[in-house]
Amino acid sequence: MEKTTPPAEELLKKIRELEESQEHLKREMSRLKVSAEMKQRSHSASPQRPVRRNSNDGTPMWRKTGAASFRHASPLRKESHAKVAGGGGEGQSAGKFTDKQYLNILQSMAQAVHVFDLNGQIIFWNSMAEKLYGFSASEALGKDPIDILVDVQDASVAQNITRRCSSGESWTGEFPVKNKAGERFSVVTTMSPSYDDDGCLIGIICITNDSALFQDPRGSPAKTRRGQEGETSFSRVTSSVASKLGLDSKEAVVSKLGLDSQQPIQVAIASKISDLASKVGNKVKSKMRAGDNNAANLEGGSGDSHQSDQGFFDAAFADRREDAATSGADTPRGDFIQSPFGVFLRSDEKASTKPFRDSSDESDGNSVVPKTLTSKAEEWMVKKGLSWPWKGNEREGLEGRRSHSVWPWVRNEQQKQQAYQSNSNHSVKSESQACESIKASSNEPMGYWSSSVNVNSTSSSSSCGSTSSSVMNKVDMDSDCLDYEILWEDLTIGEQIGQGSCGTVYHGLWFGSDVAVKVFSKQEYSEEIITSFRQEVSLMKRLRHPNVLLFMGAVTSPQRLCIVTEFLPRGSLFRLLQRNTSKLDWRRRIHMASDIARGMNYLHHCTPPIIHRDLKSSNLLVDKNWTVKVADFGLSRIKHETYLTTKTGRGTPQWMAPEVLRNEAADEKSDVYSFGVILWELVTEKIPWESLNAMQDTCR
Amino acid sequence: MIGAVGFMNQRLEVPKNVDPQWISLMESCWHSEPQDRPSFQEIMEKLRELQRKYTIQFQAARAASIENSALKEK
Repeated sequence: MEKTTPPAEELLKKIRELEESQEHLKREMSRLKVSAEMKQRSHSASPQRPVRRNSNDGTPMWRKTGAASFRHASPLRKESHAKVAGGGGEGQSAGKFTDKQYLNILQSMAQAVHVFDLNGQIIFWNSMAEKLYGFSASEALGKDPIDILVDVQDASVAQNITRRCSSGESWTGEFPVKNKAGERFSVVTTMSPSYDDDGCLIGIICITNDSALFQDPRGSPAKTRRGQEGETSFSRVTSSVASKLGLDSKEAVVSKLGLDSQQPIQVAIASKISDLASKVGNKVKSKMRAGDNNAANLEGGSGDSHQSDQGFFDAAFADRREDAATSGADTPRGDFIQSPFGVFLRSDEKASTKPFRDSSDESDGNSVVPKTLTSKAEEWMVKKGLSWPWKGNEREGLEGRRSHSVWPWVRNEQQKQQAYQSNSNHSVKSESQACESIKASSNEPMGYWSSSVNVNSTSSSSSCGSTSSSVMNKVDMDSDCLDYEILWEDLTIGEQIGQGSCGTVYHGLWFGSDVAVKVFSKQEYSEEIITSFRQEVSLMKRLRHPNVLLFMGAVTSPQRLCIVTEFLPRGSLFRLLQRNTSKLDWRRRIHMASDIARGMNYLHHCTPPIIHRDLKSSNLLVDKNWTVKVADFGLSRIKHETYLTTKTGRGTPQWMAPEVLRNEAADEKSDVYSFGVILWELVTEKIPWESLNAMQDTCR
Repeated sequence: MIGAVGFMNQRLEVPKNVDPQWISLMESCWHSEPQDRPSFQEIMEKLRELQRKYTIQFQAARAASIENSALKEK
């Protein structure tokens, strides 16, 4: 892509790609859910089986079942999904892997799963947990897992792990527990934070295996190991790459997937995937930046050409290289080696992804492009009439390009579902080569970016690169959401200029333009804040009036929610009146009052009407021409939604109409009352009810 | 204040030297019965009247000052 391409278009593409990868992740999650169900069903005939038989190729079977339980597929996705599924029948490697083997592996995964909420109460307890610990579900539910499962002497360690998981980390390690009879034994546990659909932390998911499954001495306290493992196996990504990114990748992934306590296994796996993905995602980002420089160098194909991101690349993927080296076979998600069931998943994937591994070893990347271009992102772009900027003439020659592939299996398998899995490996392993070759044909930073994302977009992992789309998911996933996404990285934050109803407002620069950035209160985005953010954005994006503050876009990344608006240099009317330096003549004051009335009149004549509910001089902003604009819709409501509005946030008492102060219904006329107070301010230049001094003027 | 405004129907004190038109507009906005308050449409009209009045006054004042200065020069 040319450097001159409008950022909006880049964004659109990126977001769409990220969405695509998210779908893949979801599907994979669905598969794992099915796996878990099958495990619990034991050997009895599973209703899933006929479906899998129909799929006839072993590997994509989980795709099929996954698709069955995949509820949110858009028509576009379904369509492309069906296409991919159809192609799955040609699979070769699938033959190595029968349903029975698959089931056997699943049967070996005897995990106990329990979930406890933030109050430390168990809210989910599966049958394996019953077997492992001896407590029935009814006995365990509502109890504190540390109380019933952990010996007193280990409690502090357990609490520490829980605390760290509560802050978004996952933990995998060995731990001494006790069963109902009080017998101590050692288990291998993966603990992951659990998020609801909105990304709020709701609890911790524990997936537990008796250590005896892995090592003989059952009952060994494993005390010495415990300490080490506890420290060392905290998800590496959390401390390394994720922190570099400044994001909580797990949150992103998990929340995006809409996981609930019924899907505990996915979460653990999600965290693993997210580890990988955030690395890839980050890499992609850094490539975007560095791509320009690298483009020329990469053409040479020398290893050094990675320049700035080389180091990062090494760091991010070192794990996998090690794994590959030690395991002999390539493990698409080497991380799983660490986790109890990773072993099984690994063997699963080893079989199915072998061809890809080979390709990654031998590849100069040629095969990557056509293969990944079958992704839905491509389809979407075709529909949208967009083309990969770097593709050029390859576009019409997509089919032809495929047949040029050196490896026959690529042709056979390029549409196989399994590619999602293996590509993650592929992209990791062969990324340098693959991207280089793409680079050679593109030579543009954006092209590099698209292609590498595209490579990854078919993999399970890359979806976590979609950090921004995940919160968008939480925030507002309607399609026009794409239109207003602003990247935090594109904003330069300056001085604080105000405090809004639920965030701090900063003066910022966005591509050289002055903007005001309302940053919603930091850290954990509670459901409440996300809701108010969503509300404000969905409301503001509809407003277009010269006397209403211009909404420009929103930052919707996991670590930040911001609303970006135009910046009005004279600040708020409140400050203007209080500063008292500028003598406002009467005509100006009347003009200002008229501006406000016009803005409010517009709001009240929207269909449905919008009630501001927090109209006051500090929410009125003045531009350099003395035009006044109505701002801060944090408390505003669309009328029909909430006639009785006062429960959902309060305005500022001095400006509030008597009926609002009495907690009665508010309507347009409550805004009129507030306007009257503003008229009073305009003539007196005083703070209303200041003498009473009883107010908490927090919101100035 | 919450009690005073919400339940005792008190309102902000209006300075005496303010244009009575402005005062009546303010007070109409503060009517205790919401339905008796004007709509913003009506407010806009009132403000337009005020604006016109002040513009005329301003022009008159300016004309007067020009006249004055012209007189002084003579």
